Amino acid sequence: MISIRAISSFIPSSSIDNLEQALTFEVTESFVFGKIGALRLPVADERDLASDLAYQAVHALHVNHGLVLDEIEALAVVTQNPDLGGLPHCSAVLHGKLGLQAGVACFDIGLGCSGYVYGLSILRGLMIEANLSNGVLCTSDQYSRIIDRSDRNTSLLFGDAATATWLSRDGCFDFSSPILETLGSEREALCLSEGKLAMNGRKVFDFAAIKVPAQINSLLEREEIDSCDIDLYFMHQGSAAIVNAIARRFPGIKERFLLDIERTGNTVSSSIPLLLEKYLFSIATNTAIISGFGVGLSSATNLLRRI
Amino acid sequence: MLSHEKLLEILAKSGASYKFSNDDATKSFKEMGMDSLDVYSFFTEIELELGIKIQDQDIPHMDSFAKIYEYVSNRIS
Repeated sequence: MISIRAISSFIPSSSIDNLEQALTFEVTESFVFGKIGALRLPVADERDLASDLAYQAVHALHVNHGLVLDEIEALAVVTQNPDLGGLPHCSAVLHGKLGLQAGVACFDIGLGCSGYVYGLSILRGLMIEANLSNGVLCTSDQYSRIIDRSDRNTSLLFGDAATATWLSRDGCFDFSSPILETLGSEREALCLSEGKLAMNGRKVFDFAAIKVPAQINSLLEREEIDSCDIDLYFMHQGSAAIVNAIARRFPGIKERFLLDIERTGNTVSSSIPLLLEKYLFSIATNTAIISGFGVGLSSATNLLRRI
Repeated sequence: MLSHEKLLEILAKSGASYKFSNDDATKSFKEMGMDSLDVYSFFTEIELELGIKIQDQDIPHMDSFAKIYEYVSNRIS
């Protein structure tokens, strides 16, 4: 059985003071605390590419969890900001920088905030198909490169980060079949416009607040589990307001919906694995829901179970 | 027929935590201390509760409780 064995991350040390930035937009402190939730937004060094951030995350997996780089057989990178526009693919660049052996399957996944949930299943599927034992799923984005710093809608939200998740035959968290959905008709709610990120905040909020609780409930129903029997809910950390709007749909267990973006902001596909790294492996957690949603508009939800 | 009470109930469900008085009905949301996300949340709750879709182009005109009441009443009547 291929399952999650360990997760590591890399968060750039430089960051934007979000309260200071908010002043320039005449946004109140209470809005930053209560609705955005991020007090600092990490920013990658301008010389660092997506592969460099992912390199640091994989290196941390090696140092902190004993991943032997020569034993990696598959390497996937979820990114929307690949080095050199994606040619060659970011995972191949990362493969080269890590100095991995030739027998490694490498591919990119061009998804945003739903990318981690997709990535787990895609990588596991490949590993089963090719009979592989060790795979690494990276997420890496520097949205700081595509943010228009005069745009209040996006400037206060996004931070840069990368993560690396080790999938192996002797992991500790299994995952179920995901529920995956796309609302392409609303794709312009979050897209690049003249090289910069443009967001229709209301549409994205509406999508998350309506679609995600419904998707979680569909998954719980399919798995025949009560929402109260899930220990923790790991939502994509779009903003404090979005996580709270989703949590409100689950009265009685709202506190199980984790919110932790004070030091990171919305890190796109990295936000779920950053939370998992911090909270999943505690002894009290046996079941968890992960749900990613955003660009596309795409949403993906899955169930994790301790083995 | 939509009642004021029903719309107030929806407002409360949207996460709003302030006490609403009758004088507030014609005040702008900004004057009431509601920010853009409070208003988004109110719209989302209306859509879920009443099964209507609030169009983007209609939003700039709905900056008070009274205007939302009028808009929603027309849509569901």
